[in-house]
Amino acid sequence: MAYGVSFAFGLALGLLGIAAIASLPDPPLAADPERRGLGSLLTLPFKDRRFRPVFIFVSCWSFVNHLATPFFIVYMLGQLHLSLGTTMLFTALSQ
Amino acid sequence: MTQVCFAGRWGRLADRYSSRVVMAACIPFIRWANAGWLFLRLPEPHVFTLPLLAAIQVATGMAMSGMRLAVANVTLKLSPSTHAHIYAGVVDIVAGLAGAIAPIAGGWLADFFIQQHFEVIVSWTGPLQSMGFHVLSIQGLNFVFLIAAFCGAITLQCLNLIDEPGGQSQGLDATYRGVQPTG
Repeated sequence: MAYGVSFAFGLALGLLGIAAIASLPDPPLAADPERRGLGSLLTLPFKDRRFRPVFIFVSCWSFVNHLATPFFIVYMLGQLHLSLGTTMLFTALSQ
Repeated sequence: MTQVCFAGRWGRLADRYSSRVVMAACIPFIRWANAGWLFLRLPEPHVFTLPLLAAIQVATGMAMSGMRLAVANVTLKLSPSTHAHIYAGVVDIVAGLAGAIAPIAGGWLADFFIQQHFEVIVSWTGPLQSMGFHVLSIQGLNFVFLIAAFCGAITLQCLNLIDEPGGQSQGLDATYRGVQPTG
């Protein structure tokens, strides 16, 4: 029941977030002069030699970041024997 | 809480120097925070466990806010204005794929290291009394945290590949080892 209420509260806040984003001003994007298709657009950044290092860095960073992060809560609960409330308190501290 | 507090400060630093400098400052924080998890159990939780955990979480949050800001900044700076949204989207796809593989790799590593145990014990033996205490006790998930801390060094090196336009990073490059001036 407690988890259900938490998820419902999260869903409600998420929907509120969507409504807030929808109300933001959204200037129209500049039209692509070459009228490329979706596949061509998605491969465009990979063809940009100057931008390729960003992909190398971002994939490396994302891998390193997600290698350990998902296990922090598991470790706090299972290895440090902290309560769920204390674990969430420490998690909130890093947000 | 920490990310909310520090985002503005990182923003000012990025404006003054460059996003690369922000990333070069944040990655070591993440590395040290990952390494800090090794000392939370020696081999059981101890009196400094909670203060150390709080420090680790603050350092992680502080660095994460800087990284989010700097990665988005670099992406936008290096994207052509007509296709910035495509570039940002593809960067998120690539980051998402790497981020999806990483926990699976972490899980495999944790399974592999679950039976392994490395410990460093300092002991003193005298005629009247003997004493000893753990300096380090690494087991299971601790190995994953240690590997993540090491991999942070590779990330720092990858930062050198990025040629950020308008970056004034040379003044601080000497401070953060591993970041070489570009151009």
